[in-house]
Amino acid sequence: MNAELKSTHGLAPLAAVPLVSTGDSSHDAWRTAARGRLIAGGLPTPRDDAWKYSSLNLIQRRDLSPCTDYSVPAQLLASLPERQGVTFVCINGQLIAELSSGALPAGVRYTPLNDLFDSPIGAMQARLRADDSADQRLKLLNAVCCTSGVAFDVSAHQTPVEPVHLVHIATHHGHYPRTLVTLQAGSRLNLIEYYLSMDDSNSVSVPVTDIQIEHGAALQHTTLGLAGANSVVYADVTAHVGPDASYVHRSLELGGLATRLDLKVHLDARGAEATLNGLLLADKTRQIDIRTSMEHRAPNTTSSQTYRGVANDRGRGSYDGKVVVHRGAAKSDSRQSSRNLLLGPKAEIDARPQLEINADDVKCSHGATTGSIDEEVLFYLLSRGIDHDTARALLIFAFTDDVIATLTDPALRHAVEKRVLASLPTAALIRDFVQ
Amino acid sequence: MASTPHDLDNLVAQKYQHGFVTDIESDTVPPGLDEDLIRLISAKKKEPQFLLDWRLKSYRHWQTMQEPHWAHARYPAIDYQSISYYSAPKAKTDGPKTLADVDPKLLATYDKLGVPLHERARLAGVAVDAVFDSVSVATTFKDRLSRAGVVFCPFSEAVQLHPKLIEQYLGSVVPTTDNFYAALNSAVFTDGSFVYIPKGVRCPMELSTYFRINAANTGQFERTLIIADEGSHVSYLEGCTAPMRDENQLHAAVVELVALNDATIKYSTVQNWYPGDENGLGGIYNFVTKRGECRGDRSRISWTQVETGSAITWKYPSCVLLGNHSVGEFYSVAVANHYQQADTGTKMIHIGKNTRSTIVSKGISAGHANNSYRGLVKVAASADGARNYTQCDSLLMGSECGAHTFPYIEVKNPSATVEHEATTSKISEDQLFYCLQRGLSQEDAINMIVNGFCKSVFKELPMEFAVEAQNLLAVSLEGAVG
Repeated sequence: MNAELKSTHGLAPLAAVPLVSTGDSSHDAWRTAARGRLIAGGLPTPRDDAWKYSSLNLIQRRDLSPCTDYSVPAQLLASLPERQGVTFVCINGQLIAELSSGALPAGVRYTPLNDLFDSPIGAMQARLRADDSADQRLKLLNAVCCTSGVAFDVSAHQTPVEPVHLVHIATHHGHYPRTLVTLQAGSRLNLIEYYLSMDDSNSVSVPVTDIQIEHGAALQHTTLGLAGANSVVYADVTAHVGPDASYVHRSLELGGLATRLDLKVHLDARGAEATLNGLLLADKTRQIDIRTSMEHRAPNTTSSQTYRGVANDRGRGSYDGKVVVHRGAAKSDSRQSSRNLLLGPKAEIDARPQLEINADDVKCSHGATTGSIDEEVLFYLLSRGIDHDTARALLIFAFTDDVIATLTDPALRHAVEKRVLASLPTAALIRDFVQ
Repeated sequence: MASTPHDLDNLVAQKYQHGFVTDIESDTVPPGLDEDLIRLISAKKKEPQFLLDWRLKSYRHWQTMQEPHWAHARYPAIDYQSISYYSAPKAKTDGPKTLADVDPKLLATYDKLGVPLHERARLAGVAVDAVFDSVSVATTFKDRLSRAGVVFCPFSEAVQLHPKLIEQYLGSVVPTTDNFYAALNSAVFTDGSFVYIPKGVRCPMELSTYFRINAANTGQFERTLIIADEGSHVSYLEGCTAPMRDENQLHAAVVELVALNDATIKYSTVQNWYPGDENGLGGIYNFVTKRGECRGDRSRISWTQVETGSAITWKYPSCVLLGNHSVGEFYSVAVANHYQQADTGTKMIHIGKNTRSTIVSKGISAGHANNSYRGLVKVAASADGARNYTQCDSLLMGSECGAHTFPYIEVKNPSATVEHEATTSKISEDQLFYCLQRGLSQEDAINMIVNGFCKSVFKELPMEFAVEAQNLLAVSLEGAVG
């Protein structure tokens, strides 16, 4: 898998960066060794199957050393949608207490990762590491460079109503946030994450999120990608879903120069369930690469994946969705739908809906389409007296609504709609219709 | 579900019907591969210099290549030096002129396979260019074909008779550098079939080749080249069976198709090589490169395959749609039972305007087998109005088998429409119950359901192949469901 790893430049300066001590000597030793392997092995190239559709060339010349500047870009915060509940704001991975607001709901515990590091991390170690494969290369980069992060823990049977907002701001250079989320048995949480940076920022964000959902617990997890025009985000999310537990992930990729999401969900026990929804908006020269991997490891597990992509101008969107049904995972049920609109002559859409089925009593299906706007539907609107450009804009907007409609928070939904509208070339024509 | 374990055990244990070795003296070189061997093959074939140079160039490039391991298959490493690269049935004179000259044992072999050459030739009107190991021994209906101007002959003969065509087209679809197995084939291929259909000619009969691997330890490296000139039409049938043996045999064929303006090539395959026994021992390794180029406007290439054999299948018949309004089609049924591993699919590369492609793939897995569909649909920025429809369905029989789908869809033209859908299922108890309740036996019911599952592919096969394919499917899957 990692036979093709090369091109070490970009990583070499990391050798000179002092690693922040975690307070756990064995983990510190692991990090030092991992850094050596990382620099020697380099970054994956497009010849690695896992990196076929997202080029790491973009970051070859960028400074990847962790940024330790925590000054506040105030205008970014003003651009956030209205929020209820508690908001945590992290700048370059560091929690900034004076920017955070609201009170933590009962039952939700929050620990800065630095505090976790103060004691031997023991059982946490596995959740803080990554292996050397091409798949996990960027995760390994985070594991080595991460300076701080946050951990949320929801106590058993606590079901707070208010969401928890987590805002990640990158200013420049490397940005390595790490988030651990643990939901104890029977609990619930609604977590909304935002990725922000300034348009002139050259930041490279490599966030890693590790999620454990215990028996009967339910996590709603939404990530809103609003990075600046020159920022790069390579996110890695791993979720382990326990018996009768459920995980809902929605990703709205609306910004950045390049965004990649590696989303791995393990349905580890009977009755586990996961729903993944995503919207990719690849206009201008934006590259968006979403990779989901759904592992059905136990019987009676259910998953669904719904992704919608729009590529315009020179944008490139890709969706690689893999569903693996392991031996013995009988009565697994998985559905996947990937639909893509290709609007510009220089734009590109790549789709790779994969199935690996190793049990016979399962129901698995996927569908993927790529094309332009349906002429018949367009004709219907034209025949109702709507002009061509308005009809087209309406249809593009409606196409994205499959995913936007799954957002339960009205303020969030409104903010996303506004952002999608702004990206449409003829938004002015339909603003009155849809807002 | 009601089951009769005793009968099923018998059926599962059923021996490969076509397993036997014909005892014919073979002219076989010792195992090993080097430049001298390539020179020897070329000399034995009395080849012109350009072909020897081409072989040597391929061999030198092959040495720089790494064996690919991305397929969803596991097998022990192949020792390319332990394979004998040349084996020819010993010539009695300078080769048989008519069927009567052919070694009677050879003909008996075809009889056992249910391919009575002379009978089939007379009754079915099919010309058979039978490849026995590496040298073609009998060709029929040459007269009738030559009256139409059609060239259908063993590759080695074409090298002597039509060197210009060979030089022009050989390697123009699958370059020697294309992949590991294609490079190996280009270096050491011994024979195969050559077809040329002149302008405006509709080939008067279906062309058929029966391949057969016979002598122990000889890899078979076939080379097929079909050229359909402007406005011509040809339907080509390829069918395979092989004798039983415990050693793995390597087969790395290359098939190249060229369709010029308004030409149509229909290429049908029934592949039933020895798949290994019920413990996964033995069986053929089938690493084949098949590709067609629709070079002309309104040309059409259609691949239809029924794959039931081989321990490992690695095969992606592809279409490069260069001409405007050209059409590519791929219809496939792949059956994997016991420990078979099939990794097969297609590539449709849309380059010309208004090009269309259809992919229908039906995979059936039983026993401990793994069956993968791997395909690429690529629409280049130049392919205005391109259209693709892909359907991949998998049927699983038993809890130990696997069915996998790895499609790649890459679209760079906004006026293109590409659709892909895939489903995975097993034979439902409702369907089975309905059939049993109508008085069908369980085996018959399963056969009927499986044949229904594959129908959209079978209807694309030429008639005689369709019948054979249905029987083959029934034999391959008997006892697979309990």
